[in-house]
Amino acid sequence: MNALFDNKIIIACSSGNQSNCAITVIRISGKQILDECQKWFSKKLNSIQPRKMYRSQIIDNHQCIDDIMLCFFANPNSYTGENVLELYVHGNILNVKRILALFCKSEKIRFAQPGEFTYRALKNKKISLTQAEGLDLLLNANNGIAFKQGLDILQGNLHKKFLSLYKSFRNLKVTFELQIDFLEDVGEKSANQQLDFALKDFESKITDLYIKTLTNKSHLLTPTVVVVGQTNAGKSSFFNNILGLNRSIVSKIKGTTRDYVSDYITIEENLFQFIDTAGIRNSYEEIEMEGIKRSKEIMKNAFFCVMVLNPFETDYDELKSLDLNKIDMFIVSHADCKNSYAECKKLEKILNQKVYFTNLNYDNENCQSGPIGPDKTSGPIGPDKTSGPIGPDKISGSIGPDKISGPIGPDIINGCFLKEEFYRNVHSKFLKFSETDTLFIERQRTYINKTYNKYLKFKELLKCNTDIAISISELSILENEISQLIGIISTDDLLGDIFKNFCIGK
Amino acid sequence: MEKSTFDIVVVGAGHAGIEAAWMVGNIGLKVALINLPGVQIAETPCNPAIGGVGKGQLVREIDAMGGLMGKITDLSAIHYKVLNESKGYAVQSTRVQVDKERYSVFAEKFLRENKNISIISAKVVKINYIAADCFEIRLENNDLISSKAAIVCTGTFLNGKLHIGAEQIPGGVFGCDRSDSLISICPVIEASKRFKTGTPARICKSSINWSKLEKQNSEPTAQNFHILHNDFERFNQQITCYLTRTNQRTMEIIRRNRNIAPLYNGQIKGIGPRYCPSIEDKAFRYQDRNEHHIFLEMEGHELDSVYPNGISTSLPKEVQNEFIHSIVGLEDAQILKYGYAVEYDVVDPTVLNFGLGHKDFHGLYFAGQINGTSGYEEAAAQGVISGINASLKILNKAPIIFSRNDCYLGVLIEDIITNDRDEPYRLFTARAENRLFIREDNTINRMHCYREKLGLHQDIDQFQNNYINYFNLLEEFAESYFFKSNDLIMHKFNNNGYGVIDARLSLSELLKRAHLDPVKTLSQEISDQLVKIDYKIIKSVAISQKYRGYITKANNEFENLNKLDALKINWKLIAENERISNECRQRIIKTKPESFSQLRRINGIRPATIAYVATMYN
Repeated sequence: MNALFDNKIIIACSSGNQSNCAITVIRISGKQILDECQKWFSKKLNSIQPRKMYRSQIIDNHQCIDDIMLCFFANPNSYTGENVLELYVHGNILNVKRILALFCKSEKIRFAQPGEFTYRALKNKKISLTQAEGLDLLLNANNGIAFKQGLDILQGNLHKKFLSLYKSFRNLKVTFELQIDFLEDVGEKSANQQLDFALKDFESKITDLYIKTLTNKSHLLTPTVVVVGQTNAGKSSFFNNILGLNRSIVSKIKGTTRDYVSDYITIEENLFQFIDTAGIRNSYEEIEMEGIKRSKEIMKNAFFCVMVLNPFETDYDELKSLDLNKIDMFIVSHADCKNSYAECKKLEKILNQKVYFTNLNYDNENCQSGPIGPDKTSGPIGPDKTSGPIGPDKISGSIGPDKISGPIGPDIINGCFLKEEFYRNVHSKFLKFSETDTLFIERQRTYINKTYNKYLKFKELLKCNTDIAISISELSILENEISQLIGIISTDDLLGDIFKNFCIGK
Repeated sequence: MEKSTFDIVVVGAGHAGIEAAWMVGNIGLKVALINLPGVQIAETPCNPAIGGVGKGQLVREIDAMGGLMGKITDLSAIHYKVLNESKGYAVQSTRVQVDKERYSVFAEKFLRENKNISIISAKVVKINYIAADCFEIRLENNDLISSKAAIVCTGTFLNGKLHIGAEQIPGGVFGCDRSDSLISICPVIEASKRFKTGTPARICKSSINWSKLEKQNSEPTAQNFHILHNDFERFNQQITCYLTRTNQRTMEIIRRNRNIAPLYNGQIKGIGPRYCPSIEDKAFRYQDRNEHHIFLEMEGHELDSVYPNGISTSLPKEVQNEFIHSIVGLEDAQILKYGYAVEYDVVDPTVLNFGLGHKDFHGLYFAGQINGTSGYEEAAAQGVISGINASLKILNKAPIIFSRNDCYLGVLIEDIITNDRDEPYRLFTARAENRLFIREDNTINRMHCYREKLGLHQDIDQFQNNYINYFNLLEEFAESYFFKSNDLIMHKFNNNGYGVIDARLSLSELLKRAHLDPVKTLSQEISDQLVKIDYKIIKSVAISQKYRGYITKANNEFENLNKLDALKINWKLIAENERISNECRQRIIKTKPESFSQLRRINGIRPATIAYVATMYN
């Protein structure tokens, strides 16, 4: 907390110094930074003009440690609203660290806290709170949509929506005030009409915003794609197949994946966290139970859920107890096995959804080499199509005569097409979500939700209450919520609106 | 040249001045009330009505503090109205029309009866601030008065100028002298700007065609203001008011004469209140509206004049004649006195503290319209506040600071001294955050703690103590009295329209039922108990029960903010803090806020500063 209120000069590396790069930007912000920093520069800083590039050496103990470019931004025309000095130094990590350490030798300079430059900008009214939040989102955004919304907030698009909500609420307050102080002036009939109109307008605005909050934000900021299923269904095989490496430990022993394993996958420029979970089964082993609990939790918050089922080892009672509506894609492994047909059909019937039948495990390389046309997924293909090597669970000597002779087997989709199909499903769901114009910032989402719910209660109250003072008291409670979103409306503002729009006074 | 000495001198005997002098006299100090010759004491130069939405509450608060206004209003009342009657008890207010002559007569009578008060008819030419708490006041006849404090209540008289069309007459009220500019009287302080107000023409009663007009009778259910008066007693014969309206012709006449309207041709520079527009304002600002209400109100039983409420104007006389004659019922109206606007000097009230004393010149107080307010009630309220606090200071007692959480006096005082406004300030209930609690019915409950601090033992103190005792008794009764769910009670509930009773129910819970009028219900229950309790107390207990839950809910919601608001702050420390923007610091230095509540209400203070100060003090 202290850091937020001291007056020291702050310094930080602004361009990320996690790895070596050609040039790194170091930012210094505060009062009298030129005087304080002069001792480390060969350039006479009191002669430099703002917003011009200069070349200088950085000097430590009469020794040049780097040859740099620098630019000065005089207050208040800088990002933070203070004096800001930007140094463009050579980007070797060691070099950057050495320079930062050098400046921090001064008592008056310290490392900036995370976000402190923005905090100072906020404090000096360079940006509004909504803008600051947008900035935070921009800096942390790891996909295209969040990035776009970050910019929208800075440009004030979302701000415009809030502004319109603000105006509508302000008008609502005005019409309530008319009912008390100015009833004689405006007349009861006109005052009631104004009130009805204002209520409808506000309701449409807050409902509009509320709908935008309904989408789970975490889906878009760090969308997770989760593989779930009962123990030993082949989840890890699927997971490894998608990642193309032996990331999860695969074995025939149930409960091998006791906690979840995660990695990142990129689909159409969007980053997803891809999680392999512990299999769900009734277990009495403490560690495994914890793992199962976490799996269910992850599944609850997942953006996209893939369920892998093993037709031979499905615990149907348990399956029915899971929330299958959360599942976006069902994959049935071992579909190429002998006697799998009846089991597969049974599953299909129970799930009553599109089910992908596949042969896990398979050989990744093999898959890349032989993409086969789409007819593969469309036509009924027998188990003899199996192209991958036989996995541990697979019965060797794959072609069972009964399969060929029997009724048409499940449509089996093999490794690389399954991957394509999976990517397509994830991406289309993501697109659908992104089109809903979701509000990302938690603070705003929370207040919109609260405001909306309080509004509903308020509306309920209005139905049975004729005491205007009670209504206004409840309205100000609603206002307390909404002010977190749009700021405070002063009484003088309200009175100003009233005097402007209504003929008040006898 | 004579010399005399008083504890306090009050300059001006309008609504602020008389209340200030009255409070000082009652507290027991010697006070000189100096009135400009030719000006009536407690004159009502505009609408002869006291009270109104929010203002009714204020008058009752003044009364509970021992002020004069409620008492003399009741005694001179000729028409009562309860406003917002259908909107619920919390926002109901009383408005009373007074006989303006009787109002002045009663005011003077009470003042003269108090031996501590000396009324001096003279013009003040100098208020010399010699040192802190040491003044010398020079009158026009060169008499000198020494005092420890001076309360300046000059109303619209300070450098006043009247406008009727192109005519410009020096004066504070029509037909009266004015006072010179503030700096020439009191060299330590200068007026900051000029405000404007106006009044309509007065019409001869007998020249109005009443038969065409809508009647408005005085309401017998309106309660008197003064707590020692019987609630519904009437001291004068009640009169009827009448309603008429402007029409298209009226408004066209006004619009046609824009270039000779002093308000619209640049002759008047002072700023008038938007909530009290002249008929010119209505004509030009609401071009599409031609019908505006006009209430015709008698100015008194013995007076032949009628006040046409709604057509205040400063148009030339011939235009006033023309447009008034275009109005239904006023076709043959004879004008007794033409409408006019008055421009006057006001001070920047942010130099004042919560007792209305100057922050730098100790003992110098300002109250009433000079502080940029409008309305008799607002002026009277300031008279009470300044009279009390000037006295307490001389007696070396702690000041009384009214809080905006429990009274309109508190709302008013904080609003006045926190911002230098660009239009006259009027009290609206919208300015109070705590409307469910600041009601007319519970005035004594709210004000008793303040009145007690004066340590007086007068009739009203006796009354208030009794009231509080009975209130507590009845409240306890309402909470501890239960109805059983049996046939007899069910029958009673059914008969009285109380609704169903399927379990034990307290009287308090019954009062909260939305479909019941709590006051009628409690009255009924009390009479069933065969006891007689003062109606005021029954009413207040019933309404308090009804609102209690909502008030608690609101208090919980705003608990954090209320806690912050109550914080006393050191403005000097904040003003020195370089992390606060220079602009905000300048505003803080000017206003010198004493509390967080005041700080956050300073105009133009940035949210960042408020948030920052909040963290400083957390």
